[in-house]
Amino acid sequence: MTNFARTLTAAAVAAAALAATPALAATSATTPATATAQIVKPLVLTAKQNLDFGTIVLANVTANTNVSMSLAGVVTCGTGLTCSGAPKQAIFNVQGSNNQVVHIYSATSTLTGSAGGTLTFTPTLPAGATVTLTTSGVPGNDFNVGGSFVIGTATLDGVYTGNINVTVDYN
Amino acid sequence: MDKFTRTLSLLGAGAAFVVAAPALAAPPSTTAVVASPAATARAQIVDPLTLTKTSDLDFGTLVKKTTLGAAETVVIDESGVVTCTTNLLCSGTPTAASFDVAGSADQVVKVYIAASTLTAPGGATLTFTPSSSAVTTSPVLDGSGNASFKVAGSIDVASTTASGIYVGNMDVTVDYN
Repeated sequence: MTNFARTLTAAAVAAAALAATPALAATSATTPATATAQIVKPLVLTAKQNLDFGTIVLANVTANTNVSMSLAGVVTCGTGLTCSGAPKQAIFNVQGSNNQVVHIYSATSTLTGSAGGTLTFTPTLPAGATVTLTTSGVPGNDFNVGGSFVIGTATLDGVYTGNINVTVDYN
Repeated sequence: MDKFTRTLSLLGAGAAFVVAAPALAAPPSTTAVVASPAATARAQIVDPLTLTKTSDLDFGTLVKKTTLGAAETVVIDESGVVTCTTNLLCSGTPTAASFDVAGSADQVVKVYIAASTLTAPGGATLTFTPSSSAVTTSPVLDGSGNASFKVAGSIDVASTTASGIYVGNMDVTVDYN
């Protein structure tokens, strides 16, 4: 009786031992995967030069006509307008992490005239709407912004000013 | 044997429970940066300038005395007063030239005046040298877009200057710049 009992015990132990063996050993699979996080410095955007279209004379406006400024600050006056003065493009400076491609976004904004009246200003961004940083932090990289607006037969004279809507992002 | 087989099946099904993470949509960016202070755009839009003469310039009558020799400079000022010289007699009703300029309110207007030649019927000429405070102190258009300015000047008269009525045009230009 004792032998049998002992045998049973051994079997139980063995069975228990078998049960404890991780059954996954025969079927598990392992594959390496990577986790990535890009750590970058925050972007800093500064306006270095404000945009100025100069003086536009409403010589003979009979229909909607465009005034546009290139990235280089050259103003093109539409039909019925005479442009003069010292136009300048906007210049922005962006700083962040070296070698990063920074995306530039823009939206239209409203210029308000000193005699009342408003104009809608549409910015013109550099080709590709990106700038690549070549330094970490200071001095950063500059980029130009031009833009345009439309003058109509009802446009009032005056000095028109407003903000330029430009943002930058890493993505 | 049955139990063992069943167990394996369960394990096989268990392997499928390792689910691949779904591709995430691009998260909305909270890192877009603006310039502060903002960059500004400016445009000065103005009405075309108009320039109207309201008075011609007239030195009046200048009489050469017999003692006149070398050229003497006769000056008229913006009030129309002629400063007569030693060997000339001045009379008549001298007047300075005056102009009205109109454009956009509050704008500064630059004035440009060129020297000109006055010619008498026989072909004799005098050089008119203009002067105006409006050249050094640019007029500012008022709230209605109006301003006016005067032009004075001088001529040289010598004993050899032929008699006659000398007339010429005065080139006056105004501009916003």
